[in-house]
Amino acid sequence: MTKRLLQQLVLASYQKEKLNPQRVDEITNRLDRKDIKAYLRALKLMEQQKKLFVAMPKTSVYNTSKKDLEKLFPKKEIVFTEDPSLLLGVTLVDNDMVYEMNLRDQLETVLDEVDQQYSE
Amino acid sequence: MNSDDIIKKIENKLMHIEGGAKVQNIGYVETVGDSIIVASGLSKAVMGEEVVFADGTRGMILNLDEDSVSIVLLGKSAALKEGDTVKTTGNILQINASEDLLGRVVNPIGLPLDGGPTIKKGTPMLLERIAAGVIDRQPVDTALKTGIKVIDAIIPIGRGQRELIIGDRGLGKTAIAIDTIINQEEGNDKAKKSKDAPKRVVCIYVAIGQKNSTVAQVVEKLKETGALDYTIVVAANASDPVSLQYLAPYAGVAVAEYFMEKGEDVLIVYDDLTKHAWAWRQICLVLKRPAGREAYPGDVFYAHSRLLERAVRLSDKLGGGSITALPVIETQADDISAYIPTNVISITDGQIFLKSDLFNSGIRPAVDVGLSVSRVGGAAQTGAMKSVAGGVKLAHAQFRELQVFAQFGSELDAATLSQLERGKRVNEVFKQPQYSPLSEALEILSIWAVTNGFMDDVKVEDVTRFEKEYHEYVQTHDKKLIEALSTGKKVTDEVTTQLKKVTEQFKKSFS
Repeated sequence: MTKRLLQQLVLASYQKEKLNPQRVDEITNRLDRKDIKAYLRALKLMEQQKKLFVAMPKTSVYNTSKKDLEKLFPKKEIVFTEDPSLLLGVTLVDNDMVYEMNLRDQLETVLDEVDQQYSE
Repeated sequence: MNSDDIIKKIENKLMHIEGGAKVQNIGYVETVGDSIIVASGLSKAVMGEEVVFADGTRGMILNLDEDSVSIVLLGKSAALKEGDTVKTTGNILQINASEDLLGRVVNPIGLPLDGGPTIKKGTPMLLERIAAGVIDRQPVDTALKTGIKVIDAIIPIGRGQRELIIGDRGLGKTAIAIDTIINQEEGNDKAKKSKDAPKRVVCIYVAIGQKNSTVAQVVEKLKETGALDYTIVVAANASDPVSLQYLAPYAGVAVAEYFMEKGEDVLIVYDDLTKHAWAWRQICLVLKRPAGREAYPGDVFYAHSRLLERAVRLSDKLGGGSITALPVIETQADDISAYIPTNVISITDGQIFLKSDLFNSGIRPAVDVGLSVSRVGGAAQTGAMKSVAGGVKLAHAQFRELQVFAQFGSELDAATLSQLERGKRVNEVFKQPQYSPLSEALEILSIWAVTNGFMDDVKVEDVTRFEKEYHEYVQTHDKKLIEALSTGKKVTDEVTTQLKKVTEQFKKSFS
């Protein structure tokens, strides 16, 4: 199966920007094992691209900033995870881009810098 | 320095650390195999970028496809599996270069192999860089003395030249390179003591795909002779990942460029580029790149040309530093017309060709003077050496021409016979044991004595002993002559007279 055909199948699996299980069934019934694997991988990637993964130290902080995130990423479904180890700030994962804007990352940078300069 | 000072220093450092959001590009491992990882994502990755896996293993991106990238591992990792994350670092591969590298053995990404501390401080030098342009260069006119008579006299090497050492396995290619490194000790000592002496030569030995035991022997010999103090060994041995074997020479020249840009002279030995070509072939075949002649990738020439073009003599405006490259190529059955040898011969400024039949007949170093050449030539010789080299070159060339008639010994005229006899003695003088590089003064003594007929009445089998005792005699009885020859200036009539006198005196005492 060519990449172009695969892309067309993936797009055809969606109705009004939501995955249609019936269409997925119809498509998979017509594919062989190898093509099913490629099709499912492409679907997973597509689903991932529609999501924005957000990690914050507290749910309450997320609740206050939820609307701002929805404005910044209007077409994305926001998936929130509570991660107290971040201390302060946020981590955003949008497709294959990771935005580290948190205190834990800053402290790790400081530790790396000190380690680089002063340890053996 | 007390603890308060240390704390203040750290605080000061921390004030200048750049903050702000960190943006990383991530991907997920799709397939793992043959030291190549295929990962999806990484849409913002660039060619040659360094990436890091979840377990800390580093890799380098070598293929950018539409939906995936191919990464070659820079270390061993048995723990990587499908689905693991991989992040870009934003860095193209580089190595930290500094004076602390002198005397150390490191791998191509700068990790120590000699059990010493990691070199963390230094100037990050890119492994891949474009070579200096035409305007930034100046001609090669300073000798790089190898201490090997046949090379310094007939195939002289200059600082900033690329001279290939080529031959079958076991003929002494590495020995020539190591002797050259050891020979820099005398010059480096003089450079420390006097500002007028030629600059020191920093040496870098790049071991590519060698046995660990061989590299250990080389390091031990350098340590024993004191040469390791000004030498850096960059090693990617046979048991190391093939990616490191591919990167080793580029890492070596990156470190060399650090010293060159400070105005210093550097000697770099690539031992050997045949294994480097094999490593690049292996990587490209696994990456499914189209195979060309002998299954090498189409850019195998470029892999070596862009490496060797970085050996350069910079103009005085840019500091006047230089990198002299001695690449080594291993041939099979003396075939210098094979693919990789012809590629590298066409890139370099000359070659030292070692032949197996010369080696087997006892001529060591087994340099085939007829096929060896230095395209820089006399411009890379001191005045003193140039005065004597012309004569020995002619004598040796005449001998090679007449050798075929040697079987008719009784039927040759006296002049031809004397040329043959002179040539045999020249051959004997050119023989030299391993790890015994000579100073220029002693080389000139030997060559002058043989070309001026002072060894014509010495039996061929006694020439080596004659030479050794002659050197000892002159060093003991006429140190001023040694000093005069060591200046590098053209041999004057006065010095010639002194040479004649001391040689005749020695001959009277030689039995």
